[in-house]
Amino acid sequence: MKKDLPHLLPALIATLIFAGFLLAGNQYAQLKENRYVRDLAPMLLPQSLNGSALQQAAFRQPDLLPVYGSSEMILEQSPYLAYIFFKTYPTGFTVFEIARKAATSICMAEELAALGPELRGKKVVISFTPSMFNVGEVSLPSYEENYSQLHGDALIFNPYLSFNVKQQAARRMLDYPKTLRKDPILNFAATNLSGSSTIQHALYYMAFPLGQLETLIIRLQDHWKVMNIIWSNPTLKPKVVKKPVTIQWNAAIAQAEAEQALRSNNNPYGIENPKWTGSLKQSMAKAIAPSGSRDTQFIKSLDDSKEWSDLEILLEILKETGAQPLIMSRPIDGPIWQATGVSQKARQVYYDRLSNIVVNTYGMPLIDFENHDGDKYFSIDSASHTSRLGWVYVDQTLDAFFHGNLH
Amino acid sequence: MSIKRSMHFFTEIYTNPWARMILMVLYYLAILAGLVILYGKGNFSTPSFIYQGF
Repeated sequence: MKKDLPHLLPALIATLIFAGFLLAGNQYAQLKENRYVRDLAPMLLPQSLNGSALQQAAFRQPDLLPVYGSSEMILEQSPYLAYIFFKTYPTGFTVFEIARKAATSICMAEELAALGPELRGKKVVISFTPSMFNVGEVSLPSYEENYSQLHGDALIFNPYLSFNVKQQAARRMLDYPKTLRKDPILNFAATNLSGSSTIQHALYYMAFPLGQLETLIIRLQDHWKVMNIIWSNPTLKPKVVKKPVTIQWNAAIAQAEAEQALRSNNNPYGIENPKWTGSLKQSMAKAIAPSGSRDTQFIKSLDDSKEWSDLEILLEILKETGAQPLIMSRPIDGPIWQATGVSQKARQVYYDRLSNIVVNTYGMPLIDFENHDGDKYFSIDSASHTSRLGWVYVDQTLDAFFHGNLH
Repeated sequence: MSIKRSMHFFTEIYTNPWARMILMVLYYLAILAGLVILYGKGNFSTPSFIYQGF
């Protein structure tokens, strides 16, 4: 040992031993996550939203279909919700839901970017409602609630994505500066990435290794959190109960429609009875307007929404990572919007624009349930939250997509 | 073991290059472990939710 460097070699050895421990721990965690992710799937754990470890484990399983979405996935409780409907793997798979209220395209873009190469060649469903295109942009409190430091870091310091898409994402993330304040490295990198000068871009690249190191540390924390969940649930089983069944879709549709009609029989819009008597009866009475009288306002709100460019960021990330996505919008609740002055012609603007971006620009499959726009029982409110009947159609679509039967 | 003998024992160890190396490695591992305990937990919690309708 050289006497003039008494600390260097021991520090190096300690670092290598430590790195070895972390690597072994990481591998062990991944094994455990792969083993228990099926049993964890229906729990809709917060860590499966805020982290990436469980999402990555879900993508590794051939019988799990990851579905990213917002409130339409979780708001109403019924046996037709996908994670309940497919719980026993009736046709050989179940869904792994990554859904939270007010999750919009930018939030899903960050989540998916954090998965890296795990997405390549994998099926994934992106679900949303048209209502997110009726507002200018997602509000700060909603974005803040859904923001994950891991996902933000993993997007900005992502080595697999193009500079251009990261720059667009950084510009949007900087619209919510409060979420970046706690993370000076990310804030510095996003600020310089979003700039237009060469010096700023050079500064971004200089921060890149440090950012990747930070992302790695948060990923290890994520694994640690998941391991704690696994260790604290001794009843978790690596093997789940699978009950193969041939689903009679027509019978399921008839059953769900009958149930929904019974639950929504005190109003002409298909709104569920308690909601109608609670507050919607009065607010609808105030909102009633002649057909077409609010078309201009509706189309302007679509035009002004930043959600379209956010959706393009999301689709670009899906394209660059090589995922096989299904883009699934719920239909606009035609009966309600019609009664409040938005005609079918104006509503068509939404479907056309969505189709233009998803199908024509990105060449991705789109299901928008446009043919259910006028269906009284598909949705339960103006925000297109899905009814029991609507859920059967959604489940049927998910089943067809998983088995490659979507035409 | 008296204090004098103990001091002698540790001095002997510390002057041995291999023993010294092992001690130093353990010292740095302890520092790294301490850093993990201090900062390893991570915070995945998010602020309270205000629902925007979608």
